[in-house]
Amino acid sequence: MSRFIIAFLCFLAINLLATKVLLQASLDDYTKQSQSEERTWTEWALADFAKQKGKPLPIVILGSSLVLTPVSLADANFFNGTISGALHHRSDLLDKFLAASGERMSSNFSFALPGLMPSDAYLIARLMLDHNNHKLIVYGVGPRDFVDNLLASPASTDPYRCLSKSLYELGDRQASLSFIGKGWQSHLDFILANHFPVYGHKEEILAILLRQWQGLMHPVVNSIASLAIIPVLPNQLTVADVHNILPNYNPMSIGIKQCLFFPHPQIDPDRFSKDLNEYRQRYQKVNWDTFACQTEFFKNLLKLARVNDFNVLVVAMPITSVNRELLPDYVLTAYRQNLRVLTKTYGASFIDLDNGGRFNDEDFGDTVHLSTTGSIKFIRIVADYVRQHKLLQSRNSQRRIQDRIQERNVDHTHLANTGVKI
Amino acid sequence: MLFNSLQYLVFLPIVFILFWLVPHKFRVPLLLVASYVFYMSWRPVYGLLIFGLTVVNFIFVDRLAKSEKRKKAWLVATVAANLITLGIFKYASFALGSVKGALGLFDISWREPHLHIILPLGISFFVFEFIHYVAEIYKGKPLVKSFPQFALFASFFPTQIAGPIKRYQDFVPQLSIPSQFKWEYLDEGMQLILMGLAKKVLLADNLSLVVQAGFNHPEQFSGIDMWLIVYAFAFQIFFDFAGYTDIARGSAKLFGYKVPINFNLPYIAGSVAEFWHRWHISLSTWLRDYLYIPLGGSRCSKWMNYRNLFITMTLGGLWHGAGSHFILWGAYQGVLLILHKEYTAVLEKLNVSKKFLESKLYHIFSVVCTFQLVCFGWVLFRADSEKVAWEIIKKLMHAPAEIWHFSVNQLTILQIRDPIIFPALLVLLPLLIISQIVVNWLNDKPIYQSLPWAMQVAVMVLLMCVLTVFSPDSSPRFIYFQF
Repeated sequence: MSRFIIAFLCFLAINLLATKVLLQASLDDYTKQSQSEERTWTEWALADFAKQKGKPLPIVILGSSLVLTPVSLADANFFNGTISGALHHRSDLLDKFLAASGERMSSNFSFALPGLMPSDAYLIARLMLDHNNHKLIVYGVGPRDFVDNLLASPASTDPYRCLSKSLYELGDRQASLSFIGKGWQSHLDFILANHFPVYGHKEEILAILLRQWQGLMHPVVNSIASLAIIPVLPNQLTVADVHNILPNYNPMSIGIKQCLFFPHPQIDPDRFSKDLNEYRQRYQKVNWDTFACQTEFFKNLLKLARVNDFNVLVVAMPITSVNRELLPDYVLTAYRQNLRVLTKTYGASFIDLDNGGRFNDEDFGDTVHLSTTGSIKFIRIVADYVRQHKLLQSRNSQRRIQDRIQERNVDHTHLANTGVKI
Repeated sequence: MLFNSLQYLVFLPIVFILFWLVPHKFRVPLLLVASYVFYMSWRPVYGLLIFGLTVVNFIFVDRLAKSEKRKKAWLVATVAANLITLGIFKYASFALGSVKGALGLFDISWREPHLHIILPLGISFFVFEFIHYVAEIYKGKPLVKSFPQFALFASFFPTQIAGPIKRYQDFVPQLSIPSQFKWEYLDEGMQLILMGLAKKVLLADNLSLVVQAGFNHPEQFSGIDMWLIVYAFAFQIFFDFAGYTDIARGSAKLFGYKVPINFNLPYIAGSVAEFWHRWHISLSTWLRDYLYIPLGGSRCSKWMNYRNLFITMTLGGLWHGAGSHFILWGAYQGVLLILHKEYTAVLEKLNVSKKFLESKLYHIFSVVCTFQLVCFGWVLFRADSEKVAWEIIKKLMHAPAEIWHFSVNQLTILQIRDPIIFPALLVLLPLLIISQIVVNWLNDKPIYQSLPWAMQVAVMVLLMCVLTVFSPDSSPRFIYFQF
């Protein structure tokens, strides 16, 4: 009998066992991690969210850095202190505005993460929002979220890497399949990831090994050092320093002090030219597959919210005209119509802050991110809208029936309205 | 197609199963088609290049063999056709840049044309195989009469991209043997493939992080750090290329074919000459047979011999890439080989006791010195430019001064908390060096030659599990692909 065949059968058996054991690990594992500085944006947020288990969190904020920045900057200004982007996952100013207007239940949690796509937002909503008495999702979007050229597939993001295991665990094959890219390799990748629990999880396993290894290594290195009568292990470099030396290594990891928001940041005179090249790359060739795919996830998120009786407030985040001009007009039209039609179809609320001239140049820190004044303005607009439209109250069944009737009329026409072939 | 890709994971089993299912007469055509699929999966148009060169070599060498009076002319024409192709695709941009640089020295400005040439994968390897073939036929060895067999010799997918550089006398006869499937082909082949992947994915790719950091930002590291980084590169390039060779040999073994080994524990060499008998063996023997010996080899005056050594190694350096740092690296190896000859002559002159030269202590001293000299050369090989190489060399030279007031605080590699490989380097490097010595010692032992059955299975299971963790592999491609 072949040694290789026997080895391969043993390997399959080990994986079968490992699948049962490893998939039982829940997201609570994130809280059990040591307070290592080396975590990704998503891991920091998940760890913080796990700590909130059981607490009422009526509002969940979703979005990319377009939302992360105003939430953090506004709070830094509110507290008049420095805030770490890695650790701060809420908007205290929003709570304050809502409390001032008489809202009693107004605690929130922010899942605003750099680069978050609608696919990630859907994944977070699908997996995370099943407790904590959530009432409202505030989701800030920008055109980049739908047409980012730098995104290989919905499965290539950091939130997907962190949460995909739980998605398989749910056994929702349809949801899992929607993350697969085109081509046989993506399908094979998916099958392997489904059947071999450690496949594609190098980072997590390395992170665990790293912690074990450090525990093992420090005494060894220290004892070598003491033998040579030399000082003990030196201070370690910060994540920022490591990124400086190894720019491509684990780019989504973030140190506690690596992304800080200050109460009164200085205005950079070159702020409207610095990030243009990056956005040119992101927009350079509109990939309609990405647009269609992300639109589908956006739609699924709204559907999911309706099924779970959450209100959704979609906010088209303001961007500067300099950035907007990088996009062809027909993309902007498709993006705006999509938001308008889909929110209407699924009964979500919608504020278009990118249209209407409510934000001027002073409100921006660069071509897309808000400055402190813009951030406070943004939080105030959201708070006012939530209060005026009573979004912290659950939808009543009457409204849902109306939504369904409306959906039947609009669902089949909205794509035609965008002028985009999907 | 990369060996460490999902495509190969699907491609190889399909070809393997089809190969053993079809009758013997269809096996060569099957492998030929598979090899072209393998090659053209990267850039289909370059399939025409390898096919064109194959046709030219087959026809020209056939004429050479049949010609009575114009053998030499056909030899020159065939070698020229190969070298011109290699020159255009690999060295044209470099040559134009060098001309521009030279003109710049005389204050002549010239805007060189921009050539949109992408280096075809493996061109240096299959061109060297063609030159070997024409040289052997010129010497009177028998022709390969079957075109499919000849085409497969050059395009055989396991060795197509980065060797080992095969000899047609060894490889082509294997294609004619109607072999039956044996389980040992599968076992030995897969064992080699798994070992090769482990060398690449677990060792080389991890070490590459350290190396990348050091060679991209030498200013961030101390002299002692830089020595550790250079040692790390020595092992990275070894495991990367040895890993590739293992996968190539394993893949060939699945079809029952043998391809030559390329490495034999190079870092335990006691001299630079011995190092070249252990490192990239298929290239060093090619250089010896088709460059060094035709130039006159060692059967000439001392100075001519030194000239031949220098030219051979410098051109060997140039073969690795179109860059002046590769030429410098080759020249450095040539100088080392000349110095080694001089050193041996001096020892003979001084009548140093043979007993001392054969002692273990002297052997260890020689191994350590050779390793240091080889590592020093790797700086020229790896640095992106002479400027960076010079900066690193200055750091390395400064290391002895740092040792006098050494403290762990000087070591930047210990301050990098992640990845694991940085703080582990102080433990890992000695382990890698020891492993070479241990394997060398074990090589003669019967137990190592045939490990117990259960242990072989256990090793394979372990490797499969570990490699699954490290998949899908998004690591950089094999270093030797660029040559």
